[in-house]
Amino acid sequence: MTLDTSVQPDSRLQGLSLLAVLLVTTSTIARAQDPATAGSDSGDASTLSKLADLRAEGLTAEKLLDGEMEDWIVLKDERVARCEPVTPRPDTLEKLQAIRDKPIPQGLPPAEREWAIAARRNARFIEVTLIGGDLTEYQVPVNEVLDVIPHEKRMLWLVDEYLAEGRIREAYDMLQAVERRIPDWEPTMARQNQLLFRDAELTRENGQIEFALAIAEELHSRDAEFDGLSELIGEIIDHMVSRAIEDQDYPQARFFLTRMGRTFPNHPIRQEWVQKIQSQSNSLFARARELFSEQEFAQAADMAREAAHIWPIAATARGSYQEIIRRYQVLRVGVLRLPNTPSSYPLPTDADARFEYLTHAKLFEPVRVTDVTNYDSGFLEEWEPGDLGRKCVFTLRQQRPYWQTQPIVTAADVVDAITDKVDPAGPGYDERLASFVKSYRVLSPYRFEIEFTRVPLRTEALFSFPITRRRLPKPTEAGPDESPSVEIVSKRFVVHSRDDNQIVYRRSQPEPDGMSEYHIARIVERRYDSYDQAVKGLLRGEVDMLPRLKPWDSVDISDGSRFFVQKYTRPVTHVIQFNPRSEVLHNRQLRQALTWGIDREGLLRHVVLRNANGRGGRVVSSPWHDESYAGSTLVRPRTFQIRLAFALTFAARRQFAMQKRDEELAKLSPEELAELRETGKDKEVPDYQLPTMRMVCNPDALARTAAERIVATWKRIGINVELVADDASLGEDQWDLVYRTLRMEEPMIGLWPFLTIEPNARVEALVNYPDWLKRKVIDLDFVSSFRTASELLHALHRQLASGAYFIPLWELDEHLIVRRNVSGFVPEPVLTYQDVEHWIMRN
Amino acid sequence: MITDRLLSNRRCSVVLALLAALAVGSRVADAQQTEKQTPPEKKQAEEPEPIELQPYRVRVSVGFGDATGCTPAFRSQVLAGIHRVINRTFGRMWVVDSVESPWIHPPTATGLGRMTPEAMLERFQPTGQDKVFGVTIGSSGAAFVVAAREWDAKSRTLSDVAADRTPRQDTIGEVAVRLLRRLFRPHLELFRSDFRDLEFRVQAGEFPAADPAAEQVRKGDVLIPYFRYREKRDRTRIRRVQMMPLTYIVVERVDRGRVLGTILTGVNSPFGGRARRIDQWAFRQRPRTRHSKVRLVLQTNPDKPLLCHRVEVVAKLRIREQAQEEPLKLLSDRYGMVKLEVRPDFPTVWLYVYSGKALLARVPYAPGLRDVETVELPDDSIRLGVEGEIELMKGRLIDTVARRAVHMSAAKKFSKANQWDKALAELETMLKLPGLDEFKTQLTTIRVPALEAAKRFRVRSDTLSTVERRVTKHCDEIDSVLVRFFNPEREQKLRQEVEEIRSSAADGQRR
Repeated sequence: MTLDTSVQPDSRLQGLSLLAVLLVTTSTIARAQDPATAGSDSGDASTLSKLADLRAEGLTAEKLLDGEMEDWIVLKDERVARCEPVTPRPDTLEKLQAIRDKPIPQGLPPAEREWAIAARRNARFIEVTLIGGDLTEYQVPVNEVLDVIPHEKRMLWLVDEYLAEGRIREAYDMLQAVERRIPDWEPTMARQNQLLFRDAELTRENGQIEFALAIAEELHSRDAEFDGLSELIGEIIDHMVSRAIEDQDYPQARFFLTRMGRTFPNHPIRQEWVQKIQSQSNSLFARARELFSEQEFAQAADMAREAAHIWPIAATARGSYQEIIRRYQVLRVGVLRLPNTPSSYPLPTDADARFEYLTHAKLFEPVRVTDVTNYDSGFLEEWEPGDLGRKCVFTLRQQRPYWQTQPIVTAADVVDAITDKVDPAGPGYDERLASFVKSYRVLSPYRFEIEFTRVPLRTEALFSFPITRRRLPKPTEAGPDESPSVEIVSKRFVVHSRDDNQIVYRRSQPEPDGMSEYHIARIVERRYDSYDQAVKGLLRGEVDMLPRLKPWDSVDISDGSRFFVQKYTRPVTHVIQFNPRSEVLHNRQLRQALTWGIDREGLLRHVVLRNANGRGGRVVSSPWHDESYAGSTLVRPRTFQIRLAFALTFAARRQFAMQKRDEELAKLSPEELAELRETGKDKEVPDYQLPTMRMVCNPDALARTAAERIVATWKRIGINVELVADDASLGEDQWDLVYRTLRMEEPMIGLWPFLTIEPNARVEALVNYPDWLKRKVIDLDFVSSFRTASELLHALHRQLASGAYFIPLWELDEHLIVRRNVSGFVPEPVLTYQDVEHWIMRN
Repeated sequence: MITDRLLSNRRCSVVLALLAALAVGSRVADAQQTEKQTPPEKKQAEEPEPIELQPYRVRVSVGFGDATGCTPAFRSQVLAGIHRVINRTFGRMWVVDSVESPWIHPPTATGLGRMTPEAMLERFQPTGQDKVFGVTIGSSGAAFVVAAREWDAKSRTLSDVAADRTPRQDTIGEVAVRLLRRLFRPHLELFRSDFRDLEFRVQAGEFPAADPAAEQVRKGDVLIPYFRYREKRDRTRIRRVQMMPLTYIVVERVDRGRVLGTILTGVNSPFGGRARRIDQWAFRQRPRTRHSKVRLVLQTNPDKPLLCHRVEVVAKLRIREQAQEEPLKLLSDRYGMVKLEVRPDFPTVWLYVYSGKALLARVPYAPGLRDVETVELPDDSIRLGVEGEIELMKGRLIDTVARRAVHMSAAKKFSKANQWDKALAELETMLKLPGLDEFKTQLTTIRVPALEAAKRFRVRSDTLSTVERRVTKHCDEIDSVLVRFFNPEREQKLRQEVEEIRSSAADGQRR
């Protein structure tokens, strides 16, 4: 409790009347103080403890925090009177002195003047209530008091002890307690700085260098002049920079030096490192310029980038840096998976599709999607159908733009590739193409003609394959001949290098010298462990592009001005398919139970899109995109009907049980069978548990999360499905379901390979489907009009949906994000790297 | 036993044949004098003689390629070598003349491949030859390439081209005759028949080959039958020759010039029956490759291959025999083809072609005789269309039945818990589900157009076609399923349950 010196005289007198006001001496105080003599007036000053003795008794946190508060009045002879908190406090003596020294203003009204005089008079005493005894209330003359030690000061003493012992946590708690009791008390502030310093020291000693730096920076913001802080930060930065350089992590080193620049910009350690790194960067850049003059553009660009990576290129050298970089441009792409990574997923992933586009330039490629998919060719000047579509004359380009990477091919090259495709014994045999091609002939080095057995509805889709060349078997030292294989002739990019963390592609045909503009010469796909890390990498500038954004990020990130976000023309469709070889899934009831037992709408909104309005995705009823000509309007996506799913599961289980019973009965002898029939046991249906099925899943994290949720729902209806780990190795018959994602370019071409889960349309692969379905799928290959194809696809759509031959889930709009320094890319692309050889990196 | 009965007249035929044989030698010698001769049919009409005693009149025309760089001496040496080896191999069975060919262009296997039956008929019919062998001698690197092809005047057909190579000049004759032996298709004339068992007489059957390997017919050989139609006015002239598709005769017994065989056919073949002005002949053909292909096409449109049809290959001789082993299961590819391997133990097999569960055809086949054999099959698309539509209906039916069960059980559960509104709502939903009438209507819309379309397959207007029967069977099956699911007892029980719940609900709501 503090004494308000401005209190009114009336109340003060009233207060005084309650006190036994005494002229105190040290002896009386001592008497009251000493518990042994408490209650009597006898005794002397010698019974009061000395300050040194009291301090030696030690301090405990419990006593200070939970015990009664007591202030210590230190008398001139260094004896201490322990009393309840005095007023004013803290800094009692200084505050009383200030009252006494305060001049009484002239012209005050008499009453106020009297009060002022009384206050000055009272400020010569400290009113104390001694702890214990009967007579405990006294006035102690200020001139008898050496010091007043408030309770909180003793708490600070304990803080000091804790700091000395390195008990930072306790010191912090105690300091907080003091701060709560006396906010902004100067001794507390000083202790806090000490605490931070000590904490930084100890954190550094514990090896948590970055935390230590953060604490030291905090201390710097409170007291930049704190004793020893400069040295501490210098040591920390020295350690961290040297470690970063050791790891070749120059951006990290620069980051620390920049941080230090905010605290001690002229620190000698910082100056030394800056000079050292700069000189390293400068020497590399000088070497890059030499290489550039020697026309070693790739090496020069690598070295220049390395120099810039170590330390930003000086403004004066910026021009030549740009020249080197633009001559050999590199696109850095953040990915979550590299191509051809071993996986239990039996189908190509997005990474494989990117790899295929870069390394296989196809004769025709999809470029736009309107009602149908439009194709274009980088190889062909024109293709002219004749004889009502039964023939087609292809004219190849004899020249190509300097930026194009694919080679100029001759008619003989293309015809060789077609030969590989139509030769049943060839490694690249394509059954469907072979069935269409009747004959072909080379008309001139750049023209060839193909005669068809029947008119193909989409010639372009049929000829969407890369130009290959047969690699003839060669005898090897190891033993037998190599099996015949094909090599790709038409490549945009080739794999330059690859390791576990990145794959580097370079142009298959470098751009010639002397051009006014150059394009991307190298693509580096850098693998990140998670999507979040990839996004951080993009934001930090480690990569220039992400091929796919999560649906909920496509809006957030595009808000920034640093990136272009491009929506892919076609959405990606998520589908669960059944392995045609899986015996158990030949049961229609089970397939229908699985289909009804998925909450598509809920999963789409809450797990996949993470927005309640479902923006960016739609529940679908087919494997092709929602607006495709192939979709029948009569088919609606199935809703979530868990009770129906449960009933169908029960029906399926019963069917299996009856099947099992019939098999068992078939094994019995006629006598045993007759016996069972007599007792009626032959009609009994045994208990049957559905076998646990295995589902492989696209390695994409979002797909996997959705698959986990779906599997959990199926479990509720009594269908056990095990989600196979991505790194497990499985044979093609060892899984029952697959969660796949796809973009079906042309349903009339793509449905057959989709159903058979194979890259090409093979008749043999249809063997596990019913004949009526086989027939319709085959008929689709023989149709000669778009209208017939549409009608057939509509019918197939209805029948496939009714028979639950696969489970369409949803389609998602997908986006790629690319830094704004990249230009020339196709708006609304069909493929990630569409036309990539025409892209330009501006810096 | 039919076999013994058929062979009982053999001995008298042989005596006659031997008497006639004495005259044959001189006639054959005359035949060799010139290429332009009287047609053999005319001569036979004048002096019928047993076919077993008629040797083959064979012309071997040898073409020499320019690349061989051969001299006249080389050519005559080769011709002489071929002649010598033929005589050594076939003996009296063949009356042969070996000449250098001016007509094979180019004198290579390609040139032989360009030969046509029509051109050969025009060129060689007047000569009266039974067989004409085109032989070409060429070179490839250090080796000689020998190719040959047979023209058979009886059947007016050409064999495939066979080729071989040899590094030595003195073995060209051996190689050529080995090819001729392989290509040679002996003539057999139908002598008598008894249902499926047939007896043939083999031309020159009484002149065994000098080399046993050149034996004309062996047990297990396959014969290809054909008809020779004679002109109405001049019966010595042949109007046309007709081959029998998918019909084979498997040789079961051989006795010099007589052969007993069993006919296997997938069609209603008249071979073995009696007919005026029609000669029934066959030639023996042995597999020349290790495998061959069967192409399945649509009967009404032979250009359309039948893909993805299941073919079972059953190894047995007669159709009614039980197969000794599991049938081999094949699937026709994009061209409607299935590939079959030649089996020494079964020169003929039976092919069962299915579309789904429906058997479309059951035909015999002898692998290895021809590269490709075509089998025309009936159109099964109407039945498959019906199957697809019924599948669609089944999906709806299963859903409906499951939904009825779900709603009924929910209604019962709610009524037990006195939640009458919910119970009634479940009932309402259940009663709105499609019922028997709706499914029956749907079935009718499937059945009627399919049967209308299937009428065109009727052979007779008053008899149902196979397609119609199959469509009807399919629809009847699903109809019985509908009746089972919506049977009156079950429906009655369901209605009672509904009424019970409704009355309970009314009571509960009043309370």
